[in-house]
Amino acid sequence: MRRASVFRTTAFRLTALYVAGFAASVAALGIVIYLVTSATLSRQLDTRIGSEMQSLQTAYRSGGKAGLTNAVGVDEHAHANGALDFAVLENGKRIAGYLRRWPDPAGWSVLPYPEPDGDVGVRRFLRAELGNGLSVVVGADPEQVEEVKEAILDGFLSAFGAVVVLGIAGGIALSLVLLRRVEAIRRTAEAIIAGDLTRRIPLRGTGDDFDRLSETLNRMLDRIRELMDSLREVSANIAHDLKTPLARLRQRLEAAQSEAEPARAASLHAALGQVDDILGTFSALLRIAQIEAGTRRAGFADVDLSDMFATVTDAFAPAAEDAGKTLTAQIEPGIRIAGDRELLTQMLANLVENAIRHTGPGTAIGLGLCADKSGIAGFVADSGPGVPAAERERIFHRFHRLADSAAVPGSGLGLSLVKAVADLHGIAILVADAQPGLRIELQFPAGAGAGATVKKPGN
Amino acid sequence: MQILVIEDDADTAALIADALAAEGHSVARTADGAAGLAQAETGRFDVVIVDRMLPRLDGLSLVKRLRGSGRACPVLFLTNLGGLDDRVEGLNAGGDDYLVKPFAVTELLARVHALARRLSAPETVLRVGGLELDLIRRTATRDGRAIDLQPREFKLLECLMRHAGRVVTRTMLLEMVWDFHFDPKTNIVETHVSRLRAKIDREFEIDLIHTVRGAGYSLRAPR
Repeated sequence: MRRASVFRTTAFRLTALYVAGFAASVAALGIVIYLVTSATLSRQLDTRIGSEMQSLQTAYRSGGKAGLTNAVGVDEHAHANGALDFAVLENGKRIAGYLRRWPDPAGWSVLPYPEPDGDVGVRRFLRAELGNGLSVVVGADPEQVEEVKEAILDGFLSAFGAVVVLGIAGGIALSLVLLRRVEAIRRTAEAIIAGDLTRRIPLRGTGDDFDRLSETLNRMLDRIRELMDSLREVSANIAHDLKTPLARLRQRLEAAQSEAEPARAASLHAALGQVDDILGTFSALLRIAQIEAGTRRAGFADVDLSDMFATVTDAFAPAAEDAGKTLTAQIEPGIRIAGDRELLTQMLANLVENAIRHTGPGTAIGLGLCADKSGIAGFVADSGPGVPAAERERIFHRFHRLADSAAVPGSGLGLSLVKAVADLHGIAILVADAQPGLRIELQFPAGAGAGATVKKPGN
Repeated sequence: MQILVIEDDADTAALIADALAAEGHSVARTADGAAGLAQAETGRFDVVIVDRMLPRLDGLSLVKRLRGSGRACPVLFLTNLGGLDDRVEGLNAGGDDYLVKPFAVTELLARVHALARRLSAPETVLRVGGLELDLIRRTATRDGRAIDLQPREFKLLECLMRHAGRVVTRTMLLEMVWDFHFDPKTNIVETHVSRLRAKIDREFEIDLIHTVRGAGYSLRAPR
């Protein structure tokens, strides 16, 4: 058995996929916020530079050169706040302000700038020509913008890292939990494969989806066990039921070896009869198995049920009479269903034979078939000893015979065949008390009646 | 009669051939489906006995091809125990009768004779000894005296008379009279025959219906 790996579980794979998607979303969100924020901050800086330039130009227009240098001088304190730097140039020489470097062309520009502490930074400049060789330059340190941008980047990188780490950890945890539940199911299945059919999947009692799945699987296992048990029972019964007549047959043949004619011929004749009985049992078993396989349904045709009931009554009435019983029938004419005539005939014949064989002389056996609004119903009833209520369900099991019927010959398969044929046709069998006696009712499936079922040839 | 046996199980084939030969028939044997078809197509045979399972060409296909080539000779299928659909499939393929293995030799012989008789022209009045059965007017008389028969008794008597002088097995009667294709545990054939006997034979000096022990019944006029 390959050991299950956490990383190969479905839970982990799904979590990993989910985490990857989530991390990608975080990254995309970070990039968008970073771009929008940096654009906004840069614009704000430019706006500040622009409005400062405007106020300096206003100062120049109202106070001339002196007014301008004055304004620049006033603003010298602003530098302490790290906001803006200025320079007033006359013919390329600085005459006021603190800027140590400035761009030559007018307009916006960005240049490296030697900081007072010796580092080389960056400044954003706006230079305007005022005429008469005078120029004014406003420079701003974009460091604040950069800091905010870095903070955003850092924040999102941390979030991204946290998502990935937590996601993977969560995936592993989830996988371990699910893996344990799945392993429990798998181990149970392995134990069952190894032959321990009594094993069941342990439940946690929380009623969660795993519990519900396990419950269903456990019920399935119970059902399989039931079927296996009945199969075992049938096999054991077959072995037992065939062993007894084979042993008797062997004895008879052994005795025949030393017999003289004509006793020998009689023994051989009886032996042949026994072989035929054994073959009959095999034949019935095979037939039941084939009927249960259900392939026969393909050959369903229109069957005159009334005629079939009449034929069976007619066939068995003299035999019943000879055994001191009466067989009478009440059959509504013209009832037809879709089915297999051969099998339906055998089903009814088995029920009638059962009634003849398991009752004493003087028994009245009744057969009936009628159709009404609720459907088609048939019955076979006798006034014999009946079947105890507790046994009624079991009489259809293979080789099941009532305890006190051991004296009556029979394979114990007749009613199993009845059940198999009834199941094939969807006929419900009810075992009732005829008070006294046994009454077996056949409830034909709804829609099986005349008209609805008449098949056209070739269909 | 000329009879062809197409059966791959040597024991079964020998059993059949010996039994048929003992009755004076001439028997040809083959264990192979394709060779069997070639022989059957020559048209020399009165009855062909075919196993369902054969090497090279299975029994069903063999009979379908035989019928396709226009041969109408009677075919008896041999099928295995418990083959529920075998009878219907065999008849649909063009077979005339079927027999489930293992079978009693008497059963096989009775069915082969019944098949051979099927070829003769249909009669409307059957006569055996003084017994007369009019199939059109549905009347029965013996030595001129009318006998009142139930419909099922009439059918039973018809089957026995059609194969007069031959054994008709219990299984054959179940199939022909009641269309029962299974083996009831109750002796329904015996009880019906006994009632028929009461009407046909009881008031007459000579019995026409005879029981053939371990096989079935035979209706025959005294020699």
